[in-house]
Amino acid sequence: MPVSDLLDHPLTERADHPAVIDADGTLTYRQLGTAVDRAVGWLRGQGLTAGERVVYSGGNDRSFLALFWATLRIGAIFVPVHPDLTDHQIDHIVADSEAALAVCRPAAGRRAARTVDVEEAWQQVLATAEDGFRADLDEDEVAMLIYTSGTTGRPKGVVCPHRQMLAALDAIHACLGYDEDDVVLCRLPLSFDYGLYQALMSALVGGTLVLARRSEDVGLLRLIERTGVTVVPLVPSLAQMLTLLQGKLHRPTRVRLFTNTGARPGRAVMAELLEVFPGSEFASMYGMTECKRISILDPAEYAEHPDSVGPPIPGDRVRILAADGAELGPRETGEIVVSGPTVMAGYWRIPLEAQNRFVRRPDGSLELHTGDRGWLDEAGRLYFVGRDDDVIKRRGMRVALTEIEDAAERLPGVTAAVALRPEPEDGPLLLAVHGTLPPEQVRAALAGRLDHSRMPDRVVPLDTVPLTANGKPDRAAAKRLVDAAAAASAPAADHHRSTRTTTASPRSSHEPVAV
Amino acid sequence: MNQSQFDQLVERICSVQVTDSETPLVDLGVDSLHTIALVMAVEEEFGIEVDPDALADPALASPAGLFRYVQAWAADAAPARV
Repeated sequence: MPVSDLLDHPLTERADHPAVIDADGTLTYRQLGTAVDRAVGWLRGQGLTAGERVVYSGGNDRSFLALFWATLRIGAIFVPVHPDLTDHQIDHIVADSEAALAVCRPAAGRRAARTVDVEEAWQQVLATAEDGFRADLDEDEVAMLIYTSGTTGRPKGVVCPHRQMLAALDAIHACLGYDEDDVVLCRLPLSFDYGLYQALMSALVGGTLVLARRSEDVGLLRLIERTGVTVVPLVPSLAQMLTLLQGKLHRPTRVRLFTNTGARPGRAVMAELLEVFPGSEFASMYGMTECKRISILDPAEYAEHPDSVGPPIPGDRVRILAADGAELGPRETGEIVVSGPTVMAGYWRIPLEAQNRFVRRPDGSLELHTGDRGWLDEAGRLYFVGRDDDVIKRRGMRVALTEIEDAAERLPGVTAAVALRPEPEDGPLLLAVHGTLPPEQVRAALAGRLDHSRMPDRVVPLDTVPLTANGKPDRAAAKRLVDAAAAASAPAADHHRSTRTTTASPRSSHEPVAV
Repeated sequence: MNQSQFDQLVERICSVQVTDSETPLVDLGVDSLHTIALVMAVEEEFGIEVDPDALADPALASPAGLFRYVQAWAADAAPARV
């Protein structure tokens, strides 16, 4: 069945249950279904047919969801794009995907066969008659392209077929057990797969999705209380915000589960968060767009194995490979390599030989070489060590910058730590820390926890932790902040202080466009 | 407290430079986390409660707007204290 059929169950069984709560109010499944049917009519009216690409660059609201479900229903391919990307970045995606329709800023969508502004498109959808059309689709047809940055080159589209997406949903559901009474807070952009899958998981069980916007963060706790949120997917900045808000307000909430994938909140922040939300648990997960989810730690095991991201999800297999391709044993660190039903179908229109991440296996299926480093314990639990591009060679040792950050973030009084990539590689290693513990004390405390090759040469304060648009600490921007502060402290260089405001903007062109 | 002192509070809590009090916090480079910290500091400092919706209004989401909000609150509350 196509992914869009997930809506059928709640539409027939729970039509009056709230499906979506956004800034404009609540939509029941019946109302969402109507909006999807109108969007189907609108897309078909635009001349769109199966297999064609629709680039969509809108915020977190009902319009996004209606056009997402409708695009899949007619067998077309949905290409979500974060609205904060520059026109230039969106233009690349529009051109690379050869979009038949771009719903985005007109200046960004010029190279699509047809371009409609996001708000204009939604008004037209609302004025279109409902259309019950459904394409007859094979599960191996493509549902989405999700653009993501590699270490080199321009963003590439990860080809996501219906089959793989459904496999990922089933596996995640088996591990996390979202249920029909769950209310899932999506404060992550729907244009990232971690955000979008919240909508899919919610539809799978007939639950409720709450779409929050960044501008509403100050009222986030009130939103959680008012809408009865039970599940909160986290990025580090969100964990910090909720800790801060709830630490002061102590509101009664129904939150039962926090999840996390990608950049992890610091251990101290996580401990505090679980404490201020009594009755809540934490599911630590690992994945990447190229195969959605890879592993999930059972929340019951978190206390005992807080550093693990859990065993592979049902159906997937993880191997740890040495640089020479040999398979490593338990507790040996190497590249994380994944095979199984959630491995996506490679990158859009890039020959397989040119894709260093996806490798064809003898049985014809693809294996994903993640470029991430980690190890497995005897029980098969995975431990994530770092990304290859976070790894430096220092004093003869391979050092993951994340290892240093992790050690610092375990210190009470350190809210966040960013290890700056040394330039040149054998140059001084700086660790920028944010929190109440003074830098010299951070360094003293680390001396007992890190070996010589991992010990930072200097620890510097960081007033603000720059984040990428998807809420991950931004190493490059942190480096610019530290450099700017150093320049500003030089007597004749006061004008450099203005650099701070420009680097605080949410992204530069070097940052990833998706998780 | 005057606007200039209030701007200093914003600068201290949010680690930014307030070049113009009317510039929205987001354009000054203040992220969500620091916005929350600022609201909490303001609530503490002035003994008031900031309605989260107030900051959704672009006119209020600047140091000047927030300071006007604080003053309006103080004016409203004044008779009750007498």
